[in-house]
Amino acid sequence: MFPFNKRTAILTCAMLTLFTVATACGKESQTSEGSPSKKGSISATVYDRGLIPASEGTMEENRWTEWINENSPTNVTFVAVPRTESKQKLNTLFASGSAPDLIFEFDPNIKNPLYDQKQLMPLDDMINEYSTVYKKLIEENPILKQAALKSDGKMYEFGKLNEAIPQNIAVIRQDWLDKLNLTAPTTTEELYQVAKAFAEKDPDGNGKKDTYGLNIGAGLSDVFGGGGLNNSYIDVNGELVRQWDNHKYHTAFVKQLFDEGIIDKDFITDNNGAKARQDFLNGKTGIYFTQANTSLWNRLWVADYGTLKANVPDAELAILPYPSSPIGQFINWINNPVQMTAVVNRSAKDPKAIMEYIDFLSTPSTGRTLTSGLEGVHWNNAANGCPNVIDPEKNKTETGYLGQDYNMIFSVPEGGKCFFIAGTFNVENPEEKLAKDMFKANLDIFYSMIDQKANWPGLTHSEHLPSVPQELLVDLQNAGTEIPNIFKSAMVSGASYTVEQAMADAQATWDKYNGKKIDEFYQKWYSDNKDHILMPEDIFNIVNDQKKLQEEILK
Amino acid sequence: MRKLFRGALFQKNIPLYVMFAPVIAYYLIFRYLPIGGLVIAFQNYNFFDGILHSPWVGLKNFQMLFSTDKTLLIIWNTLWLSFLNLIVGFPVPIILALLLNSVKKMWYKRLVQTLVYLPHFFSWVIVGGMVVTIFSLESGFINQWITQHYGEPYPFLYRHFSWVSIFVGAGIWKEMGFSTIIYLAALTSISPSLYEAASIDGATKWRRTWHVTLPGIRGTIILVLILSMGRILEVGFDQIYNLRNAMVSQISEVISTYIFSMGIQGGQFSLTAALGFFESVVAFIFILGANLIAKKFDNHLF
Amino acid sequence: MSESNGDKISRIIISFILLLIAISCLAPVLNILSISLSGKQAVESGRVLLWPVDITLQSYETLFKGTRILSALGNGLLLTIGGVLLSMAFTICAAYPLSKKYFFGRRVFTLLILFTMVFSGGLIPTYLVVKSLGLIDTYWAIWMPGVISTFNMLIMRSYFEGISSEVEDAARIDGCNEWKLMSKIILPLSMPVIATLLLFYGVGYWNSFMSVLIYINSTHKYTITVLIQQMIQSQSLLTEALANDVTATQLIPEGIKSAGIIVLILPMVLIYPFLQRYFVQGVMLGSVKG
Repeated sequence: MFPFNKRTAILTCAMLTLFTVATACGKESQTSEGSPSKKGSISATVYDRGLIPASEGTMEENRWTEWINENSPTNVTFVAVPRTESKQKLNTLFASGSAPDLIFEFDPNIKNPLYDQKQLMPLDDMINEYSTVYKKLIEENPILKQAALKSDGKMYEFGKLNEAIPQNIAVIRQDWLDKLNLTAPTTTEELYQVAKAFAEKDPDGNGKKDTYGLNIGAGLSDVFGGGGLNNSYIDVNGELVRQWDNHKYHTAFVKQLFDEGIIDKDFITDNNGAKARQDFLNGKTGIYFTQANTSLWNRLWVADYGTLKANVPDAELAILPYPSSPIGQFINWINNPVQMTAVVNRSAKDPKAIMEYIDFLSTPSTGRTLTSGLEGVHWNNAANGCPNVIDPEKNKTETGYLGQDYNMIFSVPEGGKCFFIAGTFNVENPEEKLAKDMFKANLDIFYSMIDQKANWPGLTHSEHLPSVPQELLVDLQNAGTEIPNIFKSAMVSGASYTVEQAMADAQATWDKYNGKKIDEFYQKWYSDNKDHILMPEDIFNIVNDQKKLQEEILK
Repeated sequence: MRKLFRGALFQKNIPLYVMFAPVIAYYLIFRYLPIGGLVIAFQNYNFFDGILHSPWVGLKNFQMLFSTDKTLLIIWNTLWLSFLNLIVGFPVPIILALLLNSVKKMWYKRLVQTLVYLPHFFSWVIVGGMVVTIFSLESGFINQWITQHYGEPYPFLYRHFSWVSIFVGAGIWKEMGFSTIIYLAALTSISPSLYEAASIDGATKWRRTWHVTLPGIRGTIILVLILSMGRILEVGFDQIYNLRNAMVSQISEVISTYIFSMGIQGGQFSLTAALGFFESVVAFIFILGANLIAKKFDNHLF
Repeated sequence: MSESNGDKISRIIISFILLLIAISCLAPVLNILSISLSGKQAVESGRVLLWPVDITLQSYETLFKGTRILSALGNGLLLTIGGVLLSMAFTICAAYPLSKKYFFGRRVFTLLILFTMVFSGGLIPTYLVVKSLGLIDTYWAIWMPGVISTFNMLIMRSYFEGISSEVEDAARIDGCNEWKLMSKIILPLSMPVIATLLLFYGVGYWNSFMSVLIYINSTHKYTITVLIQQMIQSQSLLTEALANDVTATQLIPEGIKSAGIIVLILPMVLIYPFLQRYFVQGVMLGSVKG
């Protein structure tokens, strides 16, 4: 150990005392103002995921933040917000009055409380006075404005339009169907029959009963009409009627599969679906329900299909259209086509600069650069007019961390075909060719379902439902965790806990937690705002608007 | 005479106070100043008004909490689980230290010690994954073995009793190697001459442990026990969040998970502060109580 | 010392029990290490147990080339070493006076300190204090709010109290003053507890996650724990980030995570043996009360 004598002891303790005194006087950091320029200055958040190469710098300072500051009409100081803990970070920043001017955040559960706590600035004035690009965008797409309105009738969020495509899909082992002489199921009853055959008739031919009919994965509950408690309503002549049958049929279905050993009995403890994916990759699962939007589409059809083929060379996958349930045919969940992604701090000093920055981000050329990099440096124009990567290794380092984190506000449809997923496949690569063909097949199924008036699993997209008022929050939270647990208990408890009993318990729980009041709140919201809520028909309309472009790209 | 004595005592205290001054400053600035923030438990706190101007609501937050049976259930669950953790988990590091202490081969002792220290560094996400790998119904190691030899697998993670055992066991396994260090350090202060004397008296190993080793670390044991009382209403969030499942939801909702799920919906700062305040009061009472009992054994803290 | 038969048998049983416990702790580390060294298909099909399959360094390559892990490692060490020195100084300054029976206000101070162990103002009030001191975005913000762990301090105090008063009296008769007594007699006799607290504080600072995320704004000051814990806690972090990147399908998220865990715990494993000797052998001095 260090020599410890009287002098060092006194010195250390005295220094500690001094330190505590000195720091108590405090010093404000970062008060240096740059020389006055015409450009306004703002601060804005950017997600930090820790995935930026050291050679590039940090998320706050790198070639792209430099590029933004050089090319945008605004000086932007970036404040990193950790992706996994953005709620905690933003809350402390706001509570201590040190939040940045412009906050990019996907999660409505973080943004809605900020509005309730009067931390956000209404946007109507700044859009009217200073905006050109974004103003035009919302004039052409009034839905963007509607989705941004809060209870006081003003806009509080900037948003973007997304490509409207299915978020979850189901795939089926075509080779197993062929081997067992079965056809793809079209009803949930047939789904059960096929799953049972997959589990019991040894489709992988190894002489062991080690296969599963299907996995309890993303989207299965949507087949039966959706699962979200505050989304389980249907409109009957303008009145919202709470639905329980969707839960009933879904619970009964899973329970039967569980009892008969058709599914993995560990599905309850497989929280993130890792085990289910493993079974699927090992060729043990007949029908695989999974999330498959954005990069997950490529993961499924390029990486996972490859792994499956390596493990089971004969494996063939086909897309399974959602079978119809006893209460009707439902469509795959669609990722939110009108997504709110940015809010403004009420104490922001320079609304004009913020608006100019938003306009800058909403411009297609900015969107291109902040997605793919610079033309001539990172990409060239290919024959189809879309960017073609020059050097994948270089891009991995220099553009790999871009993601969409710097342009969370950019509306994909505004950018045209090159921004659509369909436009990104490199068809010279056979695996990506397959991914593209499957993408087309999936969209065809999707369009025909819409044409056949398939129902949306729920009242509308859950991100467009309002938060319940303060006094009901805790109740909804409690009901929202307890009721699904009741259903899950029924699924795995065999004869000791019947579906009927679970339904009765669930409804009693709902009543206990002021379910009536929650229903009334949603009824009132629905009656008051019916004209401008984003409803399934609106979503389907957006899909149809994009259909022509999609088909042209996939031709 | 008395005066002189006092003067000497005063003299002796000066260097101590010089040392202690920064400690006082630290506790005042970083511990007592923020405690003022507890007032939000009696307010309807919001960012806009801040701590100073948020509206006062008296005991309304507490009334709201304690008017539902849910809260009572949660407090009961928390007490019960942490009590089990304490009863079962407290002696394990002590026993481990005694076992390690009895190993003669130094390399073996150090190797084992290093290995048992490792799990402390696994986050609960990882331990949760391991628990599933070992205990799950169909693919868990144990149930695969049971199925081969007896047929019917046992749903360890779905039954309350076995789940609680696994929950407590996982916590012990993860932390025992780390907690044992305190006792190992305490063991070093036992004079070897005492062992020699006991040996000469012909005491067996067990008797030596009982009459020499344990009394030698008694002070440390009691201290750790009193301080553990301060955590009687704490069940680590990560531990329970990563180990629980729908089948045990009735017994696995505890204060920390409840605060988390209220937080998900946002804006419940006052309600969670009220719950935290209650937790602290209970913990403080337990510490005082434990100290009072320890006083009887002349081993109290203050 | 002669050994009876009974003692021999119990020694063998004890060794065996310890072996089982040690294996249960080693197996998961081997599993994580193997995953970090295995190929994508083997990892994702769940074929990796205690030995790597299709050995590759790809995960480590991604981790070292694709993230700021080296500077984060340096930051972690800086945060830990600085924090440990500061904490030890403060803790000794608190524990030593409190261990003296003649220290005025000993009981009251202990009680007041214990009070802060259970009552705390929570994150936001503490943040406001730290902010008003101008410490945000410096490591002082992580060190200061918890610079004394009350638990650790009381452990040290109790150890100091255990040192027999005869030693102290003898030292005083020899003319030692308070400082000499502490630095020349008490502290050298307390190496086991000092080593223990070095480890406890060190591990505590090394593992700090939330406090770094909250108090540090500049990401170039983030520590390795923040980097790796974020990966571990969010399943989608690695996949979601690379939404537009086709090559991302070649990544092994599980492998990168595992490689991160290995790099994260390695320094703590390496440091252990150096501290360990102080509480394995101890300082067998007759001057310590039994």
